[in-house]
Amino acid sequence: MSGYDQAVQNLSAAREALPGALVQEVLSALRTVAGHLAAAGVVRYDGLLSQADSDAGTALSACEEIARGLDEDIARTQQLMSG
Amino acid sequence: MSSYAEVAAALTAARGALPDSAADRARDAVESVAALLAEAGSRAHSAFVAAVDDRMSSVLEVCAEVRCGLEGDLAEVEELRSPQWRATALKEKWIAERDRPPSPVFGRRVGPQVKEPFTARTLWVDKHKQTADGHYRANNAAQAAHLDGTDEEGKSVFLPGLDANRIALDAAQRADEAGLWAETKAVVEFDSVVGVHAKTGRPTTIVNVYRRETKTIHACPGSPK
Repeated sequence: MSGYDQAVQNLSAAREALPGALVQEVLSALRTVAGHLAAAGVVRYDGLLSQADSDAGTALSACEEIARGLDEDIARTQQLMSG
Repeated sequence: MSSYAEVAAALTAARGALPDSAADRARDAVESVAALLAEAGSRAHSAFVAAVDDRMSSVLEVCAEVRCGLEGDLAEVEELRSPQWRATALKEKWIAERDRPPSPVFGRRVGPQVKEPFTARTLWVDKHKQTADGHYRANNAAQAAHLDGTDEEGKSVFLPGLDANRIALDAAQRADEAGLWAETKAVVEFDSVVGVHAKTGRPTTIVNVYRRETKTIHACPGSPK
């Protein structure tokens, strides 16, 4: 296996391992928690949950950014391999 | 949502939905991503990878804090579901939220006051060791059943630290002046909570005062308004 092959394999594995779906799950769960608490009339955790929601949103954007970057890296490496 | 059971169910559901497991798995995944990228010799995405790790770590901290808070809330709601516990919890909360009332000084009034302003009589302890105001004497034995820590079940009790004799005498004076007596009993409203009503387990500002022909009186917390 060439160095390029190995690099593509690692980049692809990293792309697969990105936790975008898990972060999405976290976001969705945080909103469910907020809904339950609102139904119970509990507002004392609103600030914390809003902060967590914002953090999860940022993490999701970062995952999407990494995915885009890795797609480009993989394409570039494959071009190098074929060229 | 009106009942304690419904609130408890919602809090339990919120606790169950906390995404700490998913956030933990996301951190593990991002660690794998970092290792694979290092193996591929790529450092281009390290800032984003670190950001995901950092934000998930922050989410985990929030989950832990909310979980801890919800555990406490649930314990409190569980207690409030039982009328007896509710009375105890309210009483403890009441005491915790305010300074312990100062020791009563005769001639001065501390703690809850008769709601309608009036000039209270001077109080003293008479030769029978009963608090008196010249018109009535507080009946210590009858009053004891309505003090905090009484062994008698089903008795409404005054909050700990309050001078129940002073409250009884003020209530009796107010009943005299406002014509509130219905034979031997009068119902007098105070300006703040005096105790817990046994039947409902609710805090009350109402005082029921009872008099005998001998002019001895005792009082107990009445049905809340």
